[in-house]
Amino acid sequence: MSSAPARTVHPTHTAASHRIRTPYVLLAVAAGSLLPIQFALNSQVAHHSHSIVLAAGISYLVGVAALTTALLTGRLEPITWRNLRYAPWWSYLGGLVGSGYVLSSVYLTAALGTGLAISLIITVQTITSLTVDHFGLLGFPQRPLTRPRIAAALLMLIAVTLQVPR
Amino acid sequence: MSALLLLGAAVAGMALVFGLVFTAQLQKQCGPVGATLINFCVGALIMAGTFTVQGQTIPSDLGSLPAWSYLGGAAGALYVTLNLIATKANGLATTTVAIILGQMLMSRLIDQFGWLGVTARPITLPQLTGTALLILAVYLVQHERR
Repeated sequence: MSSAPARTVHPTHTAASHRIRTPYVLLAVAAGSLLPIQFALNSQVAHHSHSIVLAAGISYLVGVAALTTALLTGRLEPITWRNLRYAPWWSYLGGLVGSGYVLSSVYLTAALGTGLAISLIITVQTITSLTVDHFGLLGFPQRPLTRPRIAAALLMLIAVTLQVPR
Repeated sequence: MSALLLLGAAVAGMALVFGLVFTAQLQKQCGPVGATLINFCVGALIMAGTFTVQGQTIPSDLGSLPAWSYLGGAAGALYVTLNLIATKANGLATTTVAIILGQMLMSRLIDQFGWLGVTARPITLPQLTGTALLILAVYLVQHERR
């Protein structure tokens, strides 16, 4: 810390606190690439055990084991659980909402087919995330709906529709 | 398509975003790994509860798949952790678009080469176009000027 340069505020950066940071965009692409892997593996377990709930349960448990192992290696920053009392009660509902997604997406895929189900879900997901960003809801910093954002959302919807297997 | 199914899709899409939004509140207090850990514990409890209510039994040959088949949850945990980190840096919408790109790229690779026991399905021209448009979309949100 002693060698840290004095904090100077560049005029070009003051208005750009929402500047998009490329390494984190690439990190998100990498994160997204894990989803189909998870989906393919969980499908195998669901098919084998004839239970989506069981497969999802195993998936969550394996995730807990993986995270615990990662923490036990001591290479990650230790977690300060003490501050959790400052978290609002509804912040614990992430897992509930997430498991609701797992079950409803399986039902939707069965009813609508994979392509249509994914397109609809991604459409709603995009609109919802743009809305939360735009209004700065639930403790998120405000990131207004700009023209590039609208254009990107539209492009994405076309792209997702094109991806639908026929 | 019935209105109920549309409503279902709307709920599922919103659940994806709000699951992340809620967990991001935990992240503020105990970091991305701690937040993901709590999220997964809650998820495991809910699935265990649902399984019990359904009155199902665990099949005796549950463990007979190759070991790597059970590692989906590890990929899921890493996904949520990275998603939280990226969202904190760049906001929800930009991160969502980038995640969908990653998702599509990997789906195409898995389909193309038939990885992970999936039947190989070569990429089609519309799919290739779609992937190119997604890259353009990520480029747009990434270079937006206020």
